[in-house]
Amino acid sequence: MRDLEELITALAEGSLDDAAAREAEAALARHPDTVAALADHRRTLAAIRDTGVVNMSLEERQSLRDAVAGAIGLGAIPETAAVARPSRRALWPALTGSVAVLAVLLAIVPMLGDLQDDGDAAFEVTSRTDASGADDAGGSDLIDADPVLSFGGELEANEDPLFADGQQSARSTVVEAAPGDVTEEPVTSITDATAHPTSTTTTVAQPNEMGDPALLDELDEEMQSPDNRFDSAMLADEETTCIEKAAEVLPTGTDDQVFVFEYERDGAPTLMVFFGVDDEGVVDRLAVLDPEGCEPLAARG
Amino acid sequence: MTDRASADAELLQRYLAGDAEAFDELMRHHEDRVFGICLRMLRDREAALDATQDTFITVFRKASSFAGRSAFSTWLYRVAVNTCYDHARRAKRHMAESLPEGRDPIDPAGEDGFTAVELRPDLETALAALPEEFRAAVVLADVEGLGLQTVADALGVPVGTVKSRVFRGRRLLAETLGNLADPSDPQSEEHHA
Repeated sequence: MRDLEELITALAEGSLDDAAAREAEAALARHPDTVAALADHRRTLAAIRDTGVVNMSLEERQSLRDAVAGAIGLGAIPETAAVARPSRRALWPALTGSVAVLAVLLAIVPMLGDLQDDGDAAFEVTSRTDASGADDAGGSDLIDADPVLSFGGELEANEDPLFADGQQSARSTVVEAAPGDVTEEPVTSITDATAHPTSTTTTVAQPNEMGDPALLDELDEEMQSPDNRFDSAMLADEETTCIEKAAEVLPTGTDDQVFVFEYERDGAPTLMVFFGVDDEGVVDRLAVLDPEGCEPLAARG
Repeated sequence: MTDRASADAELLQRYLAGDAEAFDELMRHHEDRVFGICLRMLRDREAALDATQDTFITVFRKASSFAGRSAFSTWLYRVAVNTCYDHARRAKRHMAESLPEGRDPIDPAGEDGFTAVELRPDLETALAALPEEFRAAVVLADVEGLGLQTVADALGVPVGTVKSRVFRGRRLLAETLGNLADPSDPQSEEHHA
């Protein structure tokens, strides 16, 4: 059947040479249904080819370029971004020592503190002084560049628990202090993650996972597949399903923009995967939600 | 790698190195085709402009993660198609929420959701009536004239699947356009059964 379809298609498109086309048409002529199919294809193609080229107006074109350039922070692209990126799987172990992703770690402190309070020994909280991450021109400029979706201002303490009753949502927490200060005191102020103070001393933690580890492993494998769906994810916005819950669950990252894709799996319910990338385009945080009820299933950041 | 693909790869590297002119060139080379795909997928100029914008933002934001396994343009079209799917789903949801009872919220010929665009109106309606995956295949392969392998890569399906979708999509288009053989013809009926 497929051979017949291909033959009809080739005939309709005119991709056979004259002799082959005559021979094929003669063969098809004995079967009225294939003759009808060939006629359908030719007429459809003729109708499609009869259409003109679609172009944007100059105004639309300029508006598009301005909007895109603004959203991606053009003019502030870090030169280091040209370096080939490591595999995504390799990212997680590398997070600990990376200044570029320190802001991610800053963001999850209160959540980790809450989890520790609950006796979850899986999360380790350490102290570190950071006087350089805030000067990462590329990262901060990109963040300042008209983010499509900013979670910073939305991440207030919430009444809806994250994975367990009584826990608070992920949010950015920093303690401003003089350079060189180190403190293990509880956080005293909460600011927008995008503020990037020039000198910050804070309590930071290792990157962590929450929820279903098997699901996170599955997504790691997805990242490694040639046709992985992370590469074709869309920018999330206020109309994206479960965006409000995702904003609560997703740890704050080095960049405000959040991508999303529907994670369809054989024999299992489709899930929503929200993630952010660092300024080298590497996934540095993600959250998985069940679109039915927006229940958080797993998160990492 | 084609000349265009090589040029795009070089432009992408220059963009990642901070070259604003490379951004302009990439936009100039691809914006019309992306817009064309979005327009024919969504049938609404404003929605197509929005989807085009989202497509480029997504692509440039993730440019450094582009591994180069396919041509930049193929990746771009894939993001564009997925963006259009996403916009179409939102539009349907929005229409379902806003239309009064008794109205078909996904009637492709309805006046509420879409405005006329540059295609022949009958072809417009016929394209809109196609199942989403058939429409994407026909738009990319026939309307935009992309190669089957490029379409396959853009849609993330095998070439054979693209061929099948294009084949069936064209027949459905013809059916909607009224170009089919006489439906009273029993052999024609049988063929479509």
